[in-house]
Amino acid sequence: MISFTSVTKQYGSSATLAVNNVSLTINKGEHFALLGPNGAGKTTLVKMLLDFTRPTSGAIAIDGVLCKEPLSRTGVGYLPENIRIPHYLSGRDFLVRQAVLCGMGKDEYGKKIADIVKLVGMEGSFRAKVKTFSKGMLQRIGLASAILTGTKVLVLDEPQSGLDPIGIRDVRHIMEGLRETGVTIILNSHLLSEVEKTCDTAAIINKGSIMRMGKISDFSLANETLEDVFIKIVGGANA
Amino acid sequence: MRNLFTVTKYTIVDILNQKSFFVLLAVCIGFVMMLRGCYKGNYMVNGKEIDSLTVAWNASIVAFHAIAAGVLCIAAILSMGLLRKDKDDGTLIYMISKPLPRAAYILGRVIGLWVVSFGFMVVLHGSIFVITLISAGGTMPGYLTASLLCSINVLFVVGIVCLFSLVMPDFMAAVAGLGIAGIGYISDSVFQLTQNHLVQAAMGNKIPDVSWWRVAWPKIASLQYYAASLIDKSAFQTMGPLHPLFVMVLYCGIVMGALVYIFKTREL
Repeated sequence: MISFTSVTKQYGSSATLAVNNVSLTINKGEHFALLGPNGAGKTTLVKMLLDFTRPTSGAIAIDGVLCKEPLSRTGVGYLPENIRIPHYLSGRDFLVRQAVLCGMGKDEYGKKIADIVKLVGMEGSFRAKVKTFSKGMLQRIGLASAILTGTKVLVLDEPQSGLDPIGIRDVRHIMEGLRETGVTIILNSHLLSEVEKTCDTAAIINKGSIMRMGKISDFSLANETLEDVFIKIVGGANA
Repeated sequence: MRNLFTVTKYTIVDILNQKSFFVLLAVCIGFVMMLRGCYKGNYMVNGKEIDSLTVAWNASIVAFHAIAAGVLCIAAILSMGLLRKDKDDGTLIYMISKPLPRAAYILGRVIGLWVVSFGFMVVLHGSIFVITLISAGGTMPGYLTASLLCSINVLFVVGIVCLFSLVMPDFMAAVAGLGIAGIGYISDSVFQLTQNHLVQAAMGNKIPDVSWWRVAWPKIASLQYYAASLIDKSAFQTMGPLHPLFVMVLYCGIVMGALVYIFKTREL
């Protein structure tokens, strides 16, 4: 379970709060979407969850372990938006490094990497140098690394960014497949139609505050899409 | 400990993946090889011919100092862009998002840089050792031990440049780090010079007392002079109550502590 308790984040002496008193709970196995316009505070929440930055006040914990403890990131996989990988590494080198940093042994990661690269459709090219990869291939290898290490929680920041329609569909299928494994997914995405298809719950954030949170099926009235609701909430607030 | 070892290993691999590193090493080895000519000449001092072993011995001591000081510059260059590069190429994100303590990450990066810089110095010092062996037929037993001692200076420079690069632009960090080393070189060299009995005789009681800041300053050059004294078994005078080896180990500890503290509290 992931919990954000009264989390506030203020950068420097700026009067604007990047995150304003956010409290939310994400249950085990839940597919949770963070929605909001650019600059709403979604990435700051993710950064605090992974301890890249610390909350000004409040607490964040994964399975009861505070996020400032490195142990909290055990079993957490992360796919950043605009993934960057050192160009001299091959896709395989990158995945091996990820696995080793998570404490996996050679026997454990060997089979796992083979399965995951197949799952993300990179089995033919993951041994090539990253510098030869297209944006879509980088995204796929990034997703592979997140799945490899994210045995408990997957934090995906715009996972479908840069992918072609087939890639977008593949990612959706992968996320659906992960449902059986009980992995919790936190999805940060602007593709509302994909969120609707892959997530159970969502929070719409604007200007650092949660505007609405709950089951996606409860968000919209009849004949309304998630996009309609999103625009109604965010558009109204920003008007 | 396992994490520290892993990050150190990856740091070494990352640096050795840079072609520029090997170009730099090849250029430096080339310069060292040019010293071979010094070992083969006939030298006369005050009408007396100097035997080749003495020439080789003195040339090797000079080369030892030049390499030990030069590698500090190489270490500063390697260190100055490391953390920025890690941020740019995604290394920082993929490492820190794992259950890896920040202390293990930053210390692993510093130790990796130190190992590579020290290896660089050992190769150059080793080249001199081999040249002396081949050209003059003599070995210098303390040469590699002295090189090992100088590696503490390298660790200090790597650490201080990484520390400065957390709070200032990379180039400024390297200049500031080398500035600290440079001031230490001038201060320590002046002190060592004043310990020479010829200088003392010439200056009489005009030699000024050593001020407190010079005693407290990182004793990079003093440690290097101490290391060189192990090669030629010459006398070594310590500035201040503490031995330079102890002072530099203490400074390395302080720099590493500060580096870990600042990096742990830093927004990434």
